[in-house]
Amino acid sequence: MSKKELRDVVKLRYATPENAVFEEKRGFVSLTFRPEDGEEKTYDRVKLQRNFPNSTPDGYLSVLDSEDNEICLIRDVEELGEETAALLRRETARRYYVFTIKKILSVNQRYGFSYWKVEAGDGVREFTVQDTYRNFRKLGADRAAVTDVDGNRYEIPSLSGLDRRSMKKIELYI
Amino acid sequence: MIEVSKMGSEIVPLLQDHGLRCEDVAVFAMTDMALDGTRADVCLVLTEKELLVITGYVRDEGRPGKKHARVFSETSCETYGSEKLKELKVEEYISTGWLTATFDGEPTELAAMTKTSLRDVRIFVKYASAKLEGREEEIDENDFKDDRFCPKCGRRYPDPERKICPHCMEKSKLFKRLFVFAKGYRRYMAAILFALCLTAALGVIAPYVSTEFFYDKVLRAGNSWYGRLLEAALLVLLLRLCSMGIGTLSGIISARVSASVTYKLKITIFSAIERLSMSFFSARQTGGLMNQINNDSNEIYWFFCMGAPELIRNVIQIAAALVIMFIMNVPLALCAVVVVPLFAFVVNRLFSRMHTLHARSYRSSRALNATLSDALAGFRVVKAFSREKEETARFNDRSERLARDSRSVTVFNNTAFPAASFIMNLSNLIVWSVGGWMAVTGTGGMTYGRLMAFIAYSALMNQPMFMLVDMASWFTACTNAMQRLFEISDAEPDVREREDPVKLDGMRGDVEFKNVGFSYEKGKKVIDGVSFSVGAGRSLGIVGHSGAGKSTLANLLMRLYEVEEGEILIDGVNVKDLSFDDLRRNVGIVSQETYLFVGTIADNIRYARPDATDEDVIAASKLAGAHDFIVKLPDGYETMIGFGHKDLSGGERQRVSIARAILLNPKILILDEATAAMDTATERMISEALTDISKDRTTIMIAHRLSTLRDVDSLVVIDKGKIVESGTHDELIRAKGQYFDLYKLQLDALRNIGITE
Repeated sequence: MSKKELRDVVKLRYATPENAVFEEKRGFVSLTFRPEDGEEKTYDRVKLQRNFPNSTPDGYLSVLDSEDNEICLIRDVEELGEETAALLRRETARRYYVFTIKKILSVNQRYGFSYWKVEAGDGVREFTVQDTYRNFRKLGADRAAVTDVDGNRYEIPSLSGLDRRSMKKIELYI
Repeated sequence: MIEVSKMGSEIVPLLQDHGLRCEDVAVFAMTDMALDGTRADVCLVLTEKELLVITGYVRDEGRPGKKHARVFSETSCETYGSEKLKELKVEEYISTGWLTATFDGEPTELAAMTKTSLRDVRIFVKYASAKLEGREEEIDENDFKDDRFCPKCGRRYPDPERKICPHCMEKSKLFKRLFVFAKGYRRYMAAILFALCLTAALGVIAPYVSTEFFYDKVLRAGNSWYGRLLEAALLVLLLRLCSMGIGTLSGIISARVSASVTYKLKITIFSAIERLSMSFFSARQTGGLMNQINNDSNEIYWFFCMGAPELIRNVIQIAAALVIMFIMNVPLALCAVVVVPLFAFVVNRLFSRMHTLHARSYRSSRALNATLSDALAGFRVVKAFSREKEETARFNDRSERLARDSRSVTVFNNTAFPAASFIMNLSNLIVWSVGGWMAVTGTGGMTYGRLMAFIAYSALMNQPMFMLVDMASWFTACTNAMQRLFEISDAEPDVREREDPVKLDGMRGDVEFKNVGFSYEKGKKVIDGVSFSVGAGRSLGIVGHSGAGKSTLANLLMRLYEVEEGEILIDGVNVKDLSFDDLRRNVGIVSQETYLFVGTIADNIRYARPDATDEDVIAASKLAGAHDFIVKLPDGYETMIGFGHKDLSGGERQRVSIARAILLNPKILILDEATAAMDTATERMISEALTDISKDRTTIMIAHRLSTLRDVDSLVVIDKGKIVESGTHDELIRAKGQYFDLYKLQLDALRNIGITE
C-alpha cells in the first residue's frame, strides 16, 4: 500500500521525447521520467503493458514501475524517436510473445478435447486444447487465437491468409 | 539433489563437461525456451556456489549399429554466483514466462520458458530461493509428481484437473458401471432383450410370408397352401400384430427402466456434488455444472431408451437378413452388399458435415439468445444511451446468421440424404436386374416369389444403414456424458472429516493462526506465513487491499479449503481434527456475496437453524437491522424472495444474511465485508448492534472501509498474503505504517466531501 494522491490516480501523463528517456539496461528497459509537476526520477526497470493489445499493439502502452503503478502512458512509440521505438517494440514483442500458426497439420477431436499439430514460426508444434469452443477466440475480423492446456497462446494472424486445408480443419470453431 | 524436471541421460555428461557431479547439484530444472525467444532446451543447475543456465538443444544421435543416444549440444552457458543472486522470480506473460532475479544489485533475466515449463520453474524457484537464503524448505512430494501425462500412452491429459486420457478410456468399464444403476431391473432388461430378439425374428419372417410364401406357395397350383388366400392374409396380419404388440411393450418397459436409471444417476451425482469441497467448484464453472449434468443424463437416457434397443434390433435384423440372403442365393447376395462400403463411406462423410452444420447453427442460436438476454437485461442502459437502433441492428445481424445457418442445415438434409439413398437404390437396381435375369433364365433355381423375397430382405438390410452409420457418434456422445457424470460422482472431496473427529462441547472461541500458508494454484502463494490469534470473545479486524488474501483467511478458518502449511487452531484444536458439525455450528460467516434461496424471508433467516421460533427470527433481524425494512413489506416476514420473486437491494440482502448468521448464534462470527453495500449510517448502527452482542463471541471482521473496524480490539494489516502490521488502532496510527497511510487516505476522502471525524 503506497501513498497515492487522488490527482495521481486520475491524471493522465504521456511520455514525450522531452520528458522521458528510455534506455536498455541489462536486457531490461529503464526510464528516466520528469513529470511536469514533479521531480525527475529514474526507474531501473519498467514494464510495458499494451492497453489495446489486439487493435493497437504499438500505441497506448502503460509504463509501470516494479510495483505495477503507472508512471506514464505512451501514445505511440513512434513519437519517441526511432531508436526508442525499436527498443520499446522489442520489449513489448517479447512480453507479448505468442506462437504463430502458419499452417494447421491436424486437429483431432476427442471427447470435447482436441489435439493440434501445427506449423508454427519455429517448426512443428503439438499441443492439447480443452473445451475447444471456449479456447478458440476470434480477435477482430481476420485474426484468431487458440489457447492450450498450459495457457500458451497460438495465434493465426490472418484467417484469410490460411490455406484451404488448414481452414477446413478449424472451420467448426469460427 | 532436488530434481524438479526429469534429468535425462544426456544431462550427466553435460554436467561433467562443467566439472560437476550429480551430487554437486542442489536443484535442477529444465525449460524449453532460450532468452531470445527461440525454441531450446535450457538447464537450470543450482549448486552450492552458483547457478548455471546452460542453453542448447537435445537431439537423438543415431550411430549405425548402435543404440540411439540422446546428446545435449550446448550453445551457451551463463554462470551466476550464489552470494550475489537474490529475489528469484517468475514473471508470467501471455505465452511465456521469464525467470528473473537481482544479480549484484541489478535486475537480471536468467531464463525464459513457455507456459509448459512454467510449473517446473516455479517449483525450482521455490527450492532454489530457500537454498540461496539458507532456509530449509520442506520437500513437498506433490511437487515432483508429474501427473500431466497419461501413464499408458504418454499423451498429455487434456484437462489438468481431470486425470483422464480420452485415448485410453475404457468404455466397457463405463457401461458396466452404468449397469450397477440398473440393478433391480435385471428382469425387465432381460424382457426387453427377449422382446427385441422376437421383434427382429418376426421382422425377418414377415418378408418371407408376404413374398415367396405367398407367390410360390399360395398362388401356385400343386401346393398344400394353394388358394388358401384368407388364411394367408390372416397369417400376415397376425405376424404384423404380434411384432407391433411386442415392440410397443418393450418400448414401454425400456422407457421406464431408462427413466428410473437416469433418475438414480442424477440423484447420485447431486448428492456427490453437495459432498464435494469448494476447490472442485472453483476449478469448474458452477453455472454450467448443473446444466451439464442435466444434458448428460438426458444424453444417456436417449441413448439407452432409443439408441441401444434400435441398435440391437437392427444388428440382429441385418445379420439375419444377410444370412438368409446368402442361403437363398450367394451371387445375388454379393450383388446386394457390394455398394454397402461405398454407402457407409459416403454417409459417414455426410454425417460429419451435418454435425458441423448443426454445431454451427447451434452456436448461432446460442449467440442470438445471448444477444437477446444481454439487450433485455441491459435495457435501462440501452435506453439511457439511446442505442435502441444499434441493438436492433445487432439482434438483426445475429438473427440473420441463425436463419442462414438453419437454412443450410435444412438444405443439406434435403439434398445430401436423398443422394445417399440413391446409392442404396443403386444396390436395389443391381439386385433387380441381376435377379430378374436369373428368374427369367431360371439360373440357380430363382423364382419370381424368391426374387421378391430377396428384394424384401435387401430392403430390410438397407433401411437401418443410415442409423447404424451415425451410431458411432451417438455412442461417443453417450460415453462422453457417462464419463463426465462418473467423474463427478468419483471426485474425492479434498477436505474430509477425520474418522474420529474431536468434539468440542461448549466451544470458547479462541482462534489461532500459526504460520499458515495456502495457494489456489501451485507455486502462487496467496497466504504466506500468516500468524495471529484472537482470544475468546475478542474481536479482530483484517485490513488490506482487495486481492490481498483477506477472504481466503476466512475460507481457511471455515475449512472450505485445506491449509497447506502451518495450522489453524480453535480452542487449541486443529480445525482439521474438529468434527464438521462442531465447526459449522460454531463458526458463522456473512460473506461479501450473499445468497438468498427462493422462499420467504423467514425461511432464509431460519436456514441455519430450522427450529428457531418466530420470536428468535425477529430478534435476530432486529439486531441485524433488517427488522425495520421487513415490517414495511406488505407480506412482512413471509415475503417471497430469491430468484423470480421480490428483489431486495444489496444492503437489504446483507442485513438478511447477517440475521441468518446471528440466529445461528455461533461462537465465532466472521463478517467478510458484510456491510459493504450499506450506507454509512446503517453500517454504523449495525456494527454497534453487533458489538453489543459480540461480548461473548469471537468476531473477525474483514473490511477495506476502515470506519467499519473502529470498534475492534485489534487489527492485522495484510498485503500480498503476508501480515505487514498488527496492533490496536492507536498503535498502528502511531507506527505510521501502511495502516496509517490508508487511514489518512480515507480520512482525506471524507474531508474532501465535508465530513470530519
